[in-house]
Amino acid sequence: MFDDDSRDYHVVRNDEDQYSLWPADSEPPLGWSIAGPAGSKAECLAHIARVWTDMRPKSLREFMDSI
Amino acid sequence: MAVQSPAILADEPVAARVAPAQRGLWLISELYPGSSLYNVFCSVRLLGQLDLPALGEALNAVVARHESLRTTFGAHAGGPVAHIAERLEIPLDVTDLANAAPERADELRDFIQSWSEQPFDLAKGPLIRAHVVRLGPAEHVLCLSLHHIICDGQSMSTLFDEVSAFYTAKAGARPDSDVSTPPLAAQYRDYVAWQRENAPGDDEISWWRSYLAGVPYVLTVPADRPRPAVRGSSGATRLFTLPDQLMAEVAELAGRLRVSPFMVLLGGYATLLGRLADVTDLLIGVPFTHRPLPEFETLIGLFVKNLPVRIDISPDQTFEQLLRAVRGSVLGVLAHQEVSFDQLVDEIKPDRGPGHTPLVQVAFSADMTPFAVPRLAGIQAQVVLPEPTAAKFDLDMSIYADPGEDGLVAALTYSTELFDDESIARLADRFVRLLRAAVARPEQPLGALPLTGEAELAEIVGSLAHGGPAQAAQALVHEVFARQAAVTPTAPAVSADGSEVSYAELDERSDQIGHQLRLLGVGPDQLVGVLIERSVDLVATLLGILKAGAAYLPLSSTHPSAYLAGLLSAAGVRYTIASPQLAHRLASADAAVFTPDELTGRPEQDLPPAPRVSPENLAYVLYTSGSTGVPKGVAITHRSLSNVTATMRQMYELTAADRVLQFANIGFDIAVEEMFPTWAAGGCVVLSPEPPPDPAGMTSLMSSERVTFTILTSSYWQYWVTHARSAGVHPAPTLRLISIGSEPVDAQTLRYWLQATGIPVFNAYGLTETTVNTTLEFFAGPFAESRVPIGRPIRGVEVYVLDDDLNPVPIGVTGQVYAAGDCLARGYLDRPDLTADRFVPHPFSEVPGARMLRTGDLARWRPDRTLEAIGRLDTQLKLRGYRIEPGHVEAAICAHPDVSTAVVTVRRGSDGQDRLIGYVVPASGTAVPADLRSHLAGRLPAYLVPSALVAIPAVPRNANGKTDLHALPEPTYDRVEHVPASTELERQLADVWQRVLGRPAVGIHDNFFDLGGTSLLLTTLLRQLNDVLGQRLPLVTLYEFPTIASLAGHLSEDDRHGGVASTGQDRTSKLQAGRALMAQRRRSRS
Repeated sequence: MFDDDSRDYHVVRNDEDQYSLWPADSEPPLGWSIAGPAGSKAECLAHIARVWTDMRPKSLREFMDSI
Repeated sequence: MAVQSPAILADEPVAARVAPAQRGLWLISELYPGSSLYNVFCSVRLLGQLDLPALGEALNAVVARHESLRTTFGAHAGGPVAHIAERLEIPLDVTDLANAAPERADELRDFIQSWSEQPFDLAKGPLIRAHVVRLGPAEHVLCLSLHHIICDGQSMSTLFDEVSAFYTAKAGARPDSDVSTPPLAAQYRDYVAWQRENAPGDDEISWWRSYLAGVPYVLTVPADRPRPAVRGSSGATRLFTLPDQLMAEVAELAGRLRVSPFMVLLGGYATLLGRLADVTDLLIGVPFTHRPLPEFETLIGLFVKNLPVRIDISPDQTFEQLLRAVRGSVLGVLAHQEVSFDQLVDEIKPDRGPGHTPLVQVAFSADMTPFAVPRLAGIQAQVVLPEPTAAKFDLDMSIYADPGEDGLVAALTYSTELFDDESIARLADRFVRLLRAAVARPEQPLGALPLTGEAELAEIVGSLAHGGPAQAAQALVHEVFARQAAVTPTAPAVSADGSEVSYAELDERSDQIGHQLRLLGVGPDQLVGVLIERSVDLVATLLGILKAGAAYLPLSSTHPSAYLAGLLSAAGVRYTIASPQLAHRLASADAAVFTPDELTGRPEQDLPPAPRVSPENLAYVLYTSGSTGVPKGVAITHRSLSNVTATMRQMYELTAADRVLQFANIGFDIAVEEMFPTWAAGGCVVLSPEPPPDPAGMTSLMSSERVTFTILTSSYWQYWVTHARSAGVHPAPTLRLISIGSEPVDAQTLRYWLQATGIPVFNAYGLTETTVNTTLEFFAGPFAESRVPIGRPIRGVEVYVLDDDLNPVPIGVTGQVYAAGDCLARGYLDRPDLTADRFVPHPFSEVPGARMLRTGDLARWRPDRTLEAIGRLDTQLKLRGYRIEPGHVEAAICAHPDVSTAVVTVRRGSDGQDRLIGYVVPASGTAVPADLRSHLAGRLPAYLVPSALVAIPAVPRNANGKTDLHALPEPTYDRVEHVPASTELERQLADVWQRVLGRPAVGIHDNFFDLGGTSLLLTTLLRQLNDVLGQRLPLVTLYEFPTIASLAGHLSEDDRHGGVASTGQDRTSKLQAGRALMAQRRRSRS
């Protein structure tokens, strides 16, 4: 599913601000929402490389900011 | 077993030609002498007053009518010839079990079993046998056994009908019975003649050529065990019913699509097998009845031939489309059925090997007409169909009308060498489920048809997938260490070079390093580089970095300085701790470099507040070379490190008494597993010296350091064990437990280890991305399997085996491994794109937003609910329809004591043929070990034995340490080289080879089949060899040793062991000796 370069994907993100891909023709699993353009795998990954600048999970980021 | 009275044969038999299908069965009987594989058996329970003499006379009246029943098969000029006796009287003996009650049922079953399995001697005959078991005055069982070479299913009905008619006449009930048995208008030899006149021409053969072009000739349905090197015929049968409602729907769909119910059932069967085997094109053997003239209809004889039906089951087509294609394919075969299976094999030349049946390995038949029941006057008869205990194929599904009930029965006869009953039960369930879904919605694509049931699905995403709750990260690994130091301050924490460092000392030293780092501003989620040889300094530094709240990044001294500098700058590392000997390697790096000594001493300033470290903070980053070649840093958090530390301590039952070897390079996460669980238990970590010891040194190190537990990669372990074995020493007398893994484990080495040392073994599977270990299997006591499973997920870990569409694959079927749970790395350091690509949304989790890792590894759930690793998604090779996992072949090559390592790949030769090539690095010298090929032949099925074995000095690696396949030399093929016979035996063999093949010069490495040898030529070869050598070799030997060199080697080996009997002896004892020898070989192989 994730090795198919011919299909379209969505950029998806979870509540921890972690990014991934999901095939554009189906609903992402529980806790994931569409967070970017649909396109080829390469396009989606390029988008993710641009926007996912802090790879710490959101809860850790908040914990570390709080101390 | 009751004594069988001799049959009465009279007059000289008439010699006659045989049908091609008969020749095929004759060949098989030569291949499996003394087998009951092609016995056609049937028993009939007879209730009522039986006139035994009349039954005997009736049977013999039928024998008198049909020449087939009086035919035997001798050999002439290398092939079979039929001998038709003018007269033959078969005895009808009686075994009385009337007084055997109450165990009568068991006795009857045992009797019938052994009676039905008595082999026929095709040359001697008779090939029909009858027996009566008396159970009481009015209860008998008639047993009938015929060799398939003289009958088929329809013949059995004819036989029953005629016996009924004659019995009724003889018993005096119906004097006019002759009416029902009119004289025969033809005999079987007329059919043989008809076939000769209508022999398949070139057109026919060329139709078959194009029909079969490109289809894989071996179908490997996922089984419990791999194919043996030489296939046997032991089998079993499982019966299941096809619900009436389902069959009604099958009939309805068949009617609507104008196909036959048979085609619907065949289509369902093909879809099931293809999806399980993960192929889209396959061959199924189907018996076709061929009685081309009306006068053949009432004959007893072999009018059935098995022919391959090709079915394309591409997953995108609908079931309706499939059924139309099946109809076309079956009708095509029907229109070209003059050819015999044997001719096809000789013409098509599929891969021949003794491990599988040629061309088709699975068969299917369906006959919905009710089975004929003998109607004996005054007797109520009930046919009991046999459940075959011999397997002609890997899998053979036969659907027929239940003689007792109204519905249809499916019998799945399977090779017990490959399958267990439970797997066949599951296969039967899958067949019914798939068929039901397919006929309910025939417009859906094949790929959407369900293979797994609700319960199985729930299991494979539920209890199977989950290794249990994670170990809560109450304390981080360095905190656990500090607590242990407080409890047992004087206990040894590390042993190095013969001296020990206590927990208190190591705690203090690492505290100091931690404090100094904190003063430098190092804290959570920061990386500190480490470039230190294995030493107390190294472990103190790792602990010190963790105590500062930071994460360590091990660097390798084998990497060039520029590479290290690039790595540190890419990872944003500000500080690196290096040993004085290695510090100069970091001269060009941006990071500040300290030696451990520079970080000692209690700081004089006040320390900043203690870091607050979350379990989500990083503990270490390990760089691995990705498949793309760009190294990637796997970022591991404390949560997963704590989980695996607590779990491994538990699983390995580590205590303060344990002394655990630290052998792994610090850049591999096995090092983590060696240290932290040991310290959590209060044990001692024993540092292995640099450079790593040789096998003998390893044994003495373990002994002198009293090592109780160690973790080794399977290949090093195998190397070490093999060495100790040949040196005749115990590898490690002080070990109580060992953990191996990271690579496929050789089953034979494991068997030897358990038997010779009795030390239990864990086999672990894991990836850096899943924090050391993902699954674990435990072995203690005898090990008899041929593959070593990797077990079940450990605590905190979930494992799924999924197909390309993320659907769970059924138990037994290979899919990609996905891992999830508390084992997951945070991702790849500063590589959001790579991370997003490999760590994907988890569709089976109840935790919103959970991720799972695509591991790229292939595995399957075995029926015993443990995982078996199959290999890597990206290295799997395909060769002539076979899926080949190079790792398995490499492991078999490396199991040879004189091989240090090996690489297996597929190369295309100048003739355009793809071949499997094994590149071998010898342990010493520059030549491939002379017996490597026979070593492999004993461990691998023929198709996995490389065509060429090429010695190379070392495995070429690319910049990232991966095997550089392009840098491997072009192979020279063993068989292309013409090596003339050199010994007397080889010359004798070559002489026979040349005569039989009609070729001037045959080299000793030429394969008989590659030189145009057919199965018929093979029997000719066998007979001539037997004449020349004065021996009686089983035919299967020639399949096993298809070259002059290998056969000569085998024969001289036999001479040494005195295994092959000489001419003078009785033939049976020689055959038995040959079989015992084969059985022995097979045992020693498995």
